[in-house]
Amino acid sequence: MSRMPRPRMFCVARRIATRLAGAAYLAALGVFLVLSLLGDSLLSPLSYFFTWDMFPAHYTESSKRVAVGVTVSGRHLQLHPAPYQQFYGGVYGDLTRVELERQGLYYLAAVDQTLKLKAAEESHDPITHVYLFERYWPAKFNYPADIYKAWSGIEKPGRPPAEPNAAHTAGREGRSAWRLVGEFDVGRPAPAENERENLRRGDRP
Amino acid sequence: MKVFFFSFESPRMLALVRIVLGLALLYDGLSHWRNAIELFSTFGPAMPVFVQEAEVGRPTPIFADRGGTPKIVRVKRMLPIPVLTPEWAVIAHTFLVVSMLSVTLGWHSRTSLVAAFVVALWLWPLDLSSSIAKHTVIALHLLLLLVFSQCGAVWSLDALADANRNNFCRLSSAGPRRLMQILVCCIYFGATLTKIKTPTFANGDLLTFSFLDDHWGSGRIGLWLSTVPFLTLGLSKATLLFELLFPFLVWVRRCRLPLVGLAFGVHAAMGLLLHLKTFSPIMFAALLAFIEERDLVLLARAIRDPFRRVLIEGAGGVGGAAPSNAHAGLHGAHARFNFASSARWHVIAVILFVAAGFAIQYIGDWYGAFGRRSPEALKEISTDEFDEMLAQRGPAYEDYFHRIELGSRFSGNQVFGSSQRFQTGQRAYVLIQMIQSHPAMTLEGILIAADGKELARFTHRVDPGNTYTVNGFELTSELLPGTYGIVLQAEGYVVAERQFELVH
Repeated sequence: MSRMPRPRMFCVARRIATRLAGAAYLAALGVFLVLSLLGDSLLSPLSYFFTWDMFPAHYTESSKRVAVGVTVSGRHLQLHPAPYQQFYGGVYGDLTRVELERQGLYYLAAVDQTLKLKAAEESHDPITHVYLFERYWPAKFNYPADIYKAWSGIEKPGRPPAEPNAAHTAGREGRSAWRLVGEFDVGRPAPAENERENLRRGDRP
Repeated sequence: MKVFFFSFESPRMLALVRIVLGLALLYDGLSHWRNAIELFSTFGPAMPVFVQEAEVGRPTPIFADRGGTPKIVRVKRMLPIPVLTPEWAVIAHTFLVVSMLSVTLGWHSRTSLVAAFVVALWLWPLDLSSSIAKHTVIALHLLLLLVFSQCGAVWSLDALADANRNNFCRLSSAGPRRLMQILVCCIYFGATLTKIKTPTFANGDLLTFSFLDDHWGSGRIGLWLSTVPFLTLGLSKATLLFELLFPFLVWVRRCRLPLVGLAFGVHAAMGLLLHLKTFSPIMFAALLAFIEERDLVLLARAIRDPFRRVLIEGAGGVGGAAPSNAHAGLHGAHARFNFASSARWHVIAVILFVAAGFAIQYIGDWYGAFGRRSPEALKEISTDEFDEMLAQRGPAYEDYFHRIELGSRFSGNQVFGSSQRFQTGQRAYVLIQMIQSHPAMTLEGILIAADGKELARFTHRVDPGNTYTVNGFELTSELLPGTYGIVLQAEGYVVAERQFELVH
């Protein structure tokens, strides 16, 4: 089957469009490279697709996030990780999406979602207050015990007694500590960052 | 310039890019498929990459990672990208997987590439945690550039189904491949600029803690490497040198193949040493854009017959002078693969695949999103556990210290010389590396004789921003040969002890 020859105008227009598109693509690569060279971190979605800033930071700490909801009767329910967090990533396959996104941008959103999905189920004893915790430990405790000992000359410290996320930890982190990174009453929006410090200092329910 | 961008060449190099990229993205798609509801739907909830704080409306700096305590905020989307319901998320993601499969097989290649690009550009930015990253951005660039190429003209179902494939030359514009080459150079050059501006990369710390990191860290080899600061420093400098030289020297004829080979080696090593998901395979695909037709001919000569025939088949279009025995063996292929030229069969296959994917997810209903399974109850935490969390006991002082080393010389963040044996007249330097988030504290180093007597002491105030401190003791002739100890204290608590021999 032979194809019908395309009109000359079409071919010319396509050639011009192809060259313009190629030039625009090269221009975008060049402009964002120059911006990168100048250190201008233009924050726009387009820049994300043309900025090659791999390995921009490193972390000397590892962490996991555990959200706890306190019910009217005083029970403590783990809101994160919840049964809805089934995607696990990271080197050891034990980090939820909330942990994979390090900045915690979606910690509240994930907890809100669990509250919403479990509202009917927990309606007999509703959750009234939520604590957003983070368990953290120095990255050096990510060494296996034998490498840790060979490197530091001492035994790797043991696990802490409190281990609410035990199903997904496997004890690799050794000694860890807890910090409260946020809390809010259910039904009210989470406090702004500057107010949270006051909340932490003040009386807790 | 015209020859560089608009000359015609064999489409085989871009067919290779298509196949390798397709395989990498197919693996990526399959590994996320079970969790499509969590990653891409309103049920998850989706975690879009482009967001701003909901409360104050100012952009959240998600583009530059920060250390330390996370900022817990509510965020809202910057772009009105629609987030799907669970049903449509499964359908869209399964469609993406089928598109990747079609790209790999070269089945209606251009349509499949367009479909894969559009759906990936929509879905991936909805999942900040595991789908959108710099390597998937590179994949999007490659998909887009392949759309404008003839990458499906060889080594594809399209080619097998084409009855006229032996009747004319199949040539492709060099443009898309040249743009890919320039893209790779920009990636390396941009990465170099970032690393040069990041002092912690140049001193090896970034690599050390990347190996140690539980997000993208390493297996035992990388973990061992991270215990030897000289090695991570050397690897960092070597990476920097490679990424700086590649964009310039790869255009020099004699340097091209060695540099491309080196790049393959670097990315293979990165893939083995770090947990970077599909970054290495995607870079392999991108680097294939530097392979020339003559390299494939050389490869065909070097490898065994069955594979050689495959390579020759693709070359059949170039110059139209492929060996006749290759053609004879492939004449029957058109009849067998005739179905592949029909768009109807492709649409039917895609619909069946997507329907099967949806049916599996619907029956499994792992998230309870379709109402077929009751979600598990929330786990109850004991009061003791909760009290332990709420107490917020800080780390032990020694946990703020990453590395404490002794040496007789120091430079930058390294000490040199024996840590066990010193000579009179030398200095015993104590290099202390702390983790990023630590409180201000007073450090004390105490030099102790074998009989436990304190001989000297230094005191140093460490601010929270300090990562390294170097102090030490002058080992004067007043000190007798023998065993000495150095005790390091933070706020009065012993955090480390070291011993060394002093000789004349």
